[in-house]
Amino acid sequence: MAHITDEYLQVLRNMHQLDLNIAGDFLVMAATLCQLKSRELLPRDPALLSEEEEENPAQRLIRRLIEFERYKCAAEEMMLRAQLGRDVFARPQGTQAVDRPLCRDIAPMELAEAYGRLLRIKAEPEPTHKVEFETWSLERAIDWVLATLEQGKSVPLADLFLSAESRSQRVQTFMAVLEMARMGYADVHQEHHLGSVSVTSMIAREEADLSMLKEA
Amino acid sequence: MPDNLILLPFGKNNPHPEPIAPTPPVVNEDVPSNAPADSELLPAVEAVLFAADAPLSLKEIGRILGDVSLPLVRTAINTIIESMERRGSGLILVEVGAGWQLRTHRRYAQWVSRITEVKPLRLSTAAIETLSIIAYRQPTIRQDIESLRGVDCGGMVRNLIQRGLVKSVGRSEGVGRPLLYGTTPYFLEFFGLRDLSDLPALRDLRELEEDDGGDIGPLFD
Repeated sequence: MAHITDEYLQVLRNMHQLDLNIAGDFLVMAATLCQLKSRELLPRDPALLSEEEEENPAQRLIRRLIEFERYKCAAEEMMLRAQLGRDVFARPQGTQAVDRPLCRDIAPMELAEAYGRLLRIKAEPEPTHKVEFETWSLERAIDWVLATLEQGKSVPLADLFLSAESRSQRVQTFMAVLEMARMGYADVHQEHHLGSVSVTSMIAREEADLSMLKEA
Repeated sequence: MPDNLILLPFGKNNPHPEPIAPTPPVVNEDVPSNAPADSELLPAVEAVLFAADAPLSLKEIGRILGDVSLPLVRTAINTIIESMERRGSGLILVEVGAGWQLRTHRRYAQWVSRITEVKPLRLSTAAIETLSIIAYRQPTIRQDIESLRGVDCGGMVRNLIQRGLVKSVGRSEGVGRPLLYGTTPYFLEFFGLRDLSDLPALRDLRELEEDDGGDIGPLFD
């Protein structure tokens, strides 16, 4: 008995790493079996014996397992059947070879009535507060970076992000730095591996030509 | 919402994959239909079945062909099936759920599956076991399924509902009025079943015992 329990616990320990669900189901099963076994081992009170015979849990478990076995057999047969979309194929719904009218037999008056009913459905109340998302164009972001940086002076990239107000601004700032590096407007430099990145503006704000970006 | 408000059918982007239940084919009554000559009945039935995107009942086929009687349609279908079998056709004509449908033969699945966009529904063993318990015992409640399988089946049942194979069919009168589950018409189509009586017969206890080579012994040796 102790040996069996030890084994159960061992399996359980391994299962912990796998899936709590499976472990839970296993625990219930193991505990049930332990309980049934201990019932068999313990001497029983003769006075209670007749009552217990009717509700023997081991018998009940066996009956349940047999019943489940029947469905398992049926499931195996079902598994072998040709399944639509895997083994056999039919014309998919909505792709009839003939054109199918969207709606039939609707008089114009009915349409008008339906529209009238729609209008009478209470419109949703105007929202009392609406959050506007400010969108930054890449061009504007570059202009902003140029305005923030002084020509020839290097600034840590992290500082640039700090001064951006929203997440979308931070994203656009990053895009702007990449674009500026591509256009030669900025020099991006990293001191050493995994060190901080600094950005140096190579151009004055007035000199930058962003007309290319406008078209894109 | 007013009950007779006109709703457009769900489009391709339908976020709810549930209503897979076959919609009966629309028969366009504006097109005049004279019943085909006797010699043309067979090919006419074949042509209609080919073009339909859902199973057609004998009655529907008869109506589409301009009031052809049911026995005539049935004979035509039997003859088509025979001739397809005789020449080893790549198609099969089967009765599934609501009616008759042309399908590709499973022998050629590997090639047909290369041209179809639909991803096959992969059902795990546990899913099929749950599904067969629901199919044989319907209408049934979750607790029944769980007491048979001995594990929680909530996720599994939800999954089967999402795949359009199972639906709730009402509530039990029992304590807590739990939901009753049953199979959908799509379930029949999916497994190529005519109706629920077409399900493989449940083997009884004696057969199972014979398989095990004798009676089922005590739980512990």
